[in-house]
Amino acid sequence: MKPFHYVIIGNGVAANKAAETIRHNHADAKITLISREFFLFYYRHKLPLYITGKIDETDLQVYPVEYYRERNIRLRLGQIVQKVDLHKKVVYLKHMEKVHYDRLLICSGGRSYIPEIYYPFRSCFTTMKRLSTARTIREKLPSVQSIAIVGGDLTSVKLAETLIDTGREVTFILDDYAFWPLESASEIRDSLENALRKMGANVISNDPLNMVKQIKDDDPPLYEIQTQSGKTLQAQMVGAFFGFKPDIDFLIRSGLDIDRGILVDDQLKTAFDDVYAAGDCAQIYAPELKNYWVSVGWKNALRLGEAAALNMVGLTGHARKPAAHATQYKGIKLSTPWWHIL
Amino acid sequence: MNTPKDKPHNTEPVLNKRVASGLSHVNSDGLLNYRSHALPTWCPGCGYYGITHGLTQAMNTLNIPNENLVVVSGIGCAGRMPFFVNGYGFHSIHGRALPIASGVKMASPELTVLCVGGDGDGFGIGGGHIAHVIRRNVDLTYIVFDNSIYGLTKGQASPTTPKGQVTSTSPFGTAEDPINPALISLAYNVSFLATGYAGDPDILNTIFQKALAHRGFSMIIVTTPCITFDHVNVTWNDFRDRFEPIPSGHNTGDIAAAMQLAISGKNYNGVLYQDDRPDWETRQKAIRKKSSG
Amino acid sequence: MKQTDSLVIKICGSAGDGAISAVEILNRACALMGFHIMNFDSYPAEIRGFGKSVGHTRISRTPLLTPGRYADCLVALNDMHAITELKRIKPDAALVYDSRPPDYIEEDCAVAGFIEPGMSGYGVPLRELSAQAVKSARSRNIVALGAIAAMYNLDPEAFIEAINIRFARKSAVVREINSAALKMGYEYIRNHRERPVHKTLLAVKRHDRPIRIVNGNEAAAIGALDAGLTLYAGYPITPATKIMEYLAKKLPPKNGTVVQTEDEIAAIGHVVGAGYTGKRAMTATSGPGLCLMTEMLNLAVQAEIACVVINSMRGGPSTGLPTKTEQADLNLALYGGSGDSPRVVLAPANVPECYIMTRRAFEIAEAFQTPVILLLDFFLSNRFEDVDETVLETFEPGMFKRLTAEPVSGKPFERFRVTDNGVSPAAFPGMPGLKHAITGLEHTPRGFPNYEGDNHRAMTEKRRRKFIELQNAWPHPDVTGPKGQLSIGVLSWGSSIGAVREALASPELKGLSIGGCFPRLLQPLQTEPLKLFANRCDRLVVVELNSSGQLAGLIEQTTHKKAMRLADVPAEPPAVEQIVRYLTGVLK
Repeated sequence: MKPFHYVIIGNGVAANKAAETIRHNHADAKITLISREFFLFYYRHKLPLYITGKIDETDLQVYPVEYYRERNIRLRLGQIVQKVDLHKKVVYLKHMEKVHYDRLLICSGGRSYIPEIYYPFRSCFTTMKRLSTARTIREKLPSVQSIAIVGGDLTSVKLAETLIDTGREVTFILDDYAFWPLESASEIRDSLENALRKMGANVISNDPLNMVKQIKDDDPPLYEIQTQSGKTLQAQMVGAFFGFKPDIDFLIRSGLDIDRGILVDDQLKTAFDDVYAAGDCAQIYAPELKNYWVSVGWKNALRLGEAAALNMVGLTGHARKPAAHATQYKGIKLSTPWWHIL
Repeated sequence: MNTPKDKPHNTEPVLNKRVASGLSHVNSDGLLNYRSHALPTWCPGCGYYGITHGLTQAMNTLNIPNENLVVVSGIGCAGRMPFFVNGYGFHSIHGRALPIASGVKMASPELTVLCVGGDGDGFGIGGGHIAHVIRRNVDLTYIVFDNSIYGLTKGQASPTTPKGQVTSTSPFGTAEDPINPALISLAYNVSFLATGYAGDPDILNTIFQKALAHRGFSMIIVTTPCITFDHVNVTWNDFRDRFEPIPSGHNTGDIAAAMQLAISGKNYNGVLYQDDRPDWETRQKAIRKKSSG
Repeated sequence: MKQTDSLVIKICGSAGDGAISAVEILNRACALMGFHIMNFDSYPAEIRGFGKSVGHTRISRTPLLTPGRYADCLVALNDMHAITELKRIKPDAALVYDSRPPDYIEEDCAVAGFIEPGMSGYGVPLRELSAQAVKSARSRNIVALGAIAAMYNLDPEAFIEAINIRFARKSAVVREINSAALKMGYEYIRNHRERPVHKTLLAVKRHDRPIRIVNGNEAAAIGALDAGLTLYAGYPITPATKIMEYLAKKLPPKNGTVVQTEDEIAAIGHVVGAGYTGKRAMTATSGPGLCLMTEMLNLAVQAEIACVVINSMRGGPSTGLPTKTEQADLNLALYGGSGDSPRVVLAPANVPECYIMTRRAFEIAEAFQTPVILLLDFFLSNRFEDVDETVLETFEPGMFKRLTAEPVSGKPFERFRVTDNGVSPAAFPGMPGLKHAITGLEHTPRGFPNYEGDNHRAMTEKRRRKFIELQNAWPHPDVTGPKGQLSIGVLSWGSSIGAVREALASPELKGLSIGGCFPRLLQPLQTEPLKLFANRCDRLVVVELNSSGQLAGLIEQTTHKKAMRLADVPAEPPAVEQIVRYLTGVLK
């Protein structure tokens, strides 16, 4: 008889926690992790350190490959889910392979979000959601002296710090879209602006981006940036940091209910039996609010992954909406909710 | 019977005068040209002397150059033959005379190659080779000294020992049916087959001449008594009466007719079958031509 | 983009997918470009129509010692078969697979599903491009070759030249459409990949001399042809059959004869018969066949007849592993048979040596009136190398010569005259005045059977004494490594020598106090040079592909020194990595 097959789409913290939890509770099941990224599970928040060469790729890894071998978890890395058939319970991969599941967990996370109004300038932007893009930046960085950052999410603050530390000139163009999917709150922006200035960055706020163009195709290249007020500046790299959006294009026409993320109940289950979602791509129902919330951050994803896995193996796990609390970074208090009612 | 294998003896020839004078008639006929200086080690009264005499006459008549004559044998009483022939000789191993003789002829087709052996050597241990040398039709003359017994090892049953005969390895009579070597050879589609009797050297002479002149594989099965170990089956007493000439009107080109003779239960003195299909060397020449064209 | 000294490429498919013929073209193209190649394909014993076939070749700027075990590039013409090859690729290997198969492939049946971090996936629509070029999927292999050319910066024109050679007998259309298929694969990688090049080889100069790509079997067969072979007799047996197949084509035009016998006994019987008449004859077989031949080889020892037997070893005992390599017939070759039965055993280490030693084997056989057994193995028989034709042309015959008798009137000819060096002048049928009979019985100098102790002792001694001259005249074993005292002396034989030499040259072992000693003449063993080497070594290690350490036993006997055994039966050529690991362990 074929073993019971849990397929997890994603290889982030929710996916890994779920795999671990499933294995713990279902020793002889088959577990497969499918990730579009070609890397072992890594610490995303350490990417800025990696980019500036302070740590190496292996330092990013959460687990070595032996971890998966010991737990008999099949890693499908660098494999792209093209579509899913939730009726036939099949995941279709882009390299033309079918994967049959008994229970499916979608933790595909998010990918760099670029607001639609900035789409025309996409080719000029450098993003850093993934290790592969981080690797490209790391390769380019030695010749880059001036960097403009459009947007301004938490990752970009950390990146700016390491860039300034290594003697580079950083200009921020703060943007209302920066905290997508969280709506912009003026208090965040103000404290952020202060923090950045303290750090030594140039900050342009209340003057959003109007246009970016490449003016030199060299090593390094040169870009010209224009704000809505007509201000122009030049930089050798333009980073776009607008947070992320769920990476769930492959679910189009799958029949799943999707709003800003995959709609799941408080046990992380979708409208389909045997299909669950957790982490950044899920939009979770909170009965006490009679509304949905979106998870942000490592610890939340960890809890959701675990809860989803417990439900999948026949136990019970609930998504617990975390209380709003403050986070602190470099002594700067960012008073911001961890979650948001949509 | 000759000296058994394990008893030390020296066959380095010593030709004493008495023997030399006894062979004077052979000498005058030129027959001695085809006898080596070594004396046969067979038992006095053995049928092999008759076969050898027939063969010597045939070679003498055909005047085969001695240095071009090669006699290849296996193991057995008949296997000693090469030592007694004035030519090149190769006393090889049990059952393998045919492949070796084939190799001799294939590599050096100018040689006249004789292959001799007994029924155990040819139909027992070496039986597998007969079909294939026949298929190739290598120009060899193969004389089987068929005494229906293993003589050199002192009287064990052979493939042609009649069923029920008591031998040293079948004290209660053999359980096996004997083979019919003539029928088998015909079934393999041999290109020349004759049978004969050791007591008729003159008839053997004519048979051997035909066989040596045949271009292709010729097989002669000669029935011969083993006077030492067989006192019931083939003996000098009545065996001559059991042989008869080939029936007049027998067509030697008709293999079915030859098979009829082979299964008739009678023993014939003469050629049962002969055809003139190309021998190995002729076939090789055609292949060489094809391969270079 | 990495630069590399050598590149291992595997093309894996079902029979009919053209994996092997793609590698043939790749070999030819690389040889044209001036690279060295070593190619060792594998396929199961079962009828090829159903099996997996893996074309495996290594390309290098410098001459190669092994085909390498782990691939830099795996091309999957059949996903299921390619999946089983994944354990034999390097961590940074590239995988070329069909990115647009006609339908989705079942779970775990798509090779692309097994690409791991560090590897590079090269999805190429092999079927679609082949269909565009040749109107069928038949040329997927050629499309893949085009991809390889792009991935390793190899000149596509050389590939087209190689295609033209491969399909020389086909129509011009076949050559054109296949060239088109090649270009499509090449262009696809160049146009669809941001970084098309996986690794590059340092450039080489084109050869100005003709290069032949031959395997050990062909080299031995060509050697036999050049030696003036008259008769080849053989019975089909893997992995020796190709020798007969080659000679069946090439020997008749030279007025020779090839006979397929009913069994191996008949085969060696024919060879002994031909050798007895003074002609050059040979057979080739593998272990099970050599078993059947031992009685006839004994006869050739006793009757002092020249014959050459090639034994291409495979895994044993019994029918064993017909299509896997092993070196476990050494004892059979050295000792197989009854009585004291000295014969010559030679083991070439590479393809050119297969040629040279086969030619030499005939000289030795004739000069010393003895059987000579050449030990090849599945690996050496089937591995292709680029051979500079001058190697074949510059062979100098006559290292050993036959001593032929002259008739002396009034004196009987002594075919087995007891001489100082043990060699008696020979005579053959057809020579007047030298008629004699020979026998497998112990015999007197004139060849008559004799069972007395003194005669037997004298004859036994004479048969052994013959080889002293050979022992002295044969080149001493290759000795490598530093001079003076060594921590380890490594010995090996036959096709394993290459892996040992490569291991000794590896960065891990280079510069350490390790030396190598590689005899080719295994019987009679050259005692003195081996003792000299052994005395320089703190420890001896013998590397060979059998489990008991057959050469090791011989070396211990000869040098009176204990030999450590890296004696393994992995059913594949020895792995350089394993030898390095073992020797590093010994040093610790």
